[in-house]
Amino acid sequence: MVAQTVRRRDRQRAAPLLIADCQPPPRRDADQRLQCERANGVHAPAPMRRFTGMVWCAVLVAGFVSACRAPNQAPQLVYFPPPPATPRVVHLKSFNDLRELVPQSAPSWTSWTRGSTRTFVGTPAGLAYHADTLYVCDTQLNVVHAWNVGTGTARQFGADGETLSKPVAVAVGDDDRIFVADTDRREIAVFDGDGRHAAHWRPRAAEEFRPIALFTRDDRLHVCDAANDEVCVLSTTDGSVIRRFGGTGSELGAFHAPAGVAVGHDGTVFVSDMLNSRVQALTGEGRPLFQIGKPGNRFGCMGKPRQVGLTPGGILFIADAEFAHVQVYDTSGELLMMFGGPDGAPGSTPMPVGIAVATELPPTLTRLVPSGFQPTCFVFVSNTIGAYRLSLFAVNTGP
Amino acid sequence: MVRTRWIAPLVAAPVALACGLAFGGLTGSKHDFRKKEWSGGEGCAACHTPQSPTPPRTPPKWDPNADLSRTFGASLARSKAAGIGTTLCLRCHDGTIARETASAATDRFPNLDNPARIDSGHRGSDHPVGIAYPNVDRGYRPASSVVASGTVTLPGGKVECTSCHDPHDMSGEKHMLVRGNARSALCLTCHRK
Repeated sequence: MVAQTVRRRDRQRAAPLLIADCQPPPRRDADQRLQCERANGVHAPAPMRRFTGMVWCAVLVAGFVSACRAPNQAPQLVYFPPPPATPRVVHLKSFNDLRELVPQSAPSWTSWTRGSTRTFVGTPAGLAYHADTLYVCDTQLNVVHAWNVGTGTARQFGADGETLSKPVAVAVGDDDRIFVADTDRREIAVFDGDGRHAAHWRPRAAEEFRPIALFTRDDRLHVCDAANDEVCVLSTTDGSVIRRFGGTGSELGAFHAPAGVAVGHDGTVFVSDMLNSRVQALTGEGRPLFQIGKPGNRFGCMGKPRQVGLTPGGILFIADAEFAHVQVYDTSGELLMMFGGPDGAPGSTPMPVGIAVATELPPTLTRLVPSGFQPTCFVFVSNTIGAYRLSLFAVNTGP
Repeated sequence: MVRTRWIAPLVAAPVALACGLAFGGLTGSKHDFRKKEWSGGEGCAACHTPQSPTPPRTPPKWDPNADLSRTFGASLARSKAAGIGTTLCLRCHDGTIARETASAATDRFPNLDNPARIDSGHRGSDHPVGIAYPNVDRGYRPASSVVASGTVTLPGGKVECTSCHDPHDMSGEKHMLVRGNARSALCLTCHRK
């Protein structure tokens, strides 16, 4: 019995003091309480202290090493098509924020004064590129971002919450005016180069008009009207209607949900006919020439074509929101390649809806081009979903 | 020979049955595209792009080694950001083709300075899609009980468009909901209050 009592006392001495023990029982005095607190905090067992110290040292060393290594790490480049084919497209950057693309970026002073200081995009839709500036329609923040990728300056159109409700497409005129298709207001909002709302155009009654894609060429503004499945050509001077063509149908020359438009230098109009799963080539007067693609999942087919982009040399880029890639054709309709891909890999385009083609970029972005790759143009792609909503690709369209 | 004779009906019967059942609910709904002038009487093709029965056409000029699984495999693949129950809807319901808009991004800006400015989902309300169901949050019922309700679905444990909406409109409820929302019955399938 005595031996058992002694062993129990020894166990009590050896047992570590717990936090619960710190709640002072009535019979413990102040010294006991202090001893208890020390046992739980300051005076930890020596092996534990050594272990904690080693962990902290390891964390500091790892942080220091990674900080030193980061600038020297080469960016992970993805080429399309993959080897052994000759690379035609290289993914340069995916980003949600202008600061990720141009590190020294900041909101412009006019943005500060107007209370719109965001440099990031919510859900991007239509894109346009003009004079070193990337224009991004944002259907989540309901603004149009104007990001100067040369200076890193960010502006916003429609940030007052009144002039834009659902901007889905944007185009820039030669006089720097910005045209924005607003599907909620069912109108085309016109801004001057300083971002001031100048006018709104509505070639039909509001309930009969739904602009979803825009393109400017010379003094013409081509508008895809989803309410009537037609292309409406407006004068950029005053918004007057020059002509309309199209109509609902699946035959050549008719559309269902024209979701993208681009006009070549020769006047050929390429219209993305989304729910007919094709892109149609038409004359400037609307006479059908030929179609590119058909419904299906084979080469030369497409699912849900959205915005189209066109280079001066006649290379056509088509964002296919269903198959999560960008299809590249020449203007005769021959399939050249596809790039992008589903979410998860670098260079992916999970749901491409917007495309902007730039023939040249400022040095802030050309620094991203790997040595040895000779780009002839650059393509910005916007995605409705995905970890990164915007991507930049360099393209070599040469022989 | 006998086997091959049976393959076509065996494949076609479930497809026809599924299409027939789906169109039972679709008839007269907003997703009933058969009557549209452009559809040629085909109601499924607007959302479900037909698979090409023909052999692959000429490979791309710049990518002669391209294979179809690499270039066209995304249609059936689930995005990391959202499942097919959302991505298929967003192809139209992104503010362009379809008036009712949705965004899969509402979980990206939890601390935005002015969340009221975000038009993230339905008109007049705000419900995220493409996010994991908050199973451990006390404000929500357990996922198991949500799924057991037999109406609301959580594909892959995520809240998708199809969690609350049936694009085939089998229930016939307003806004193509999977069940009626009288007294917030649909909302309370997940939300405790």
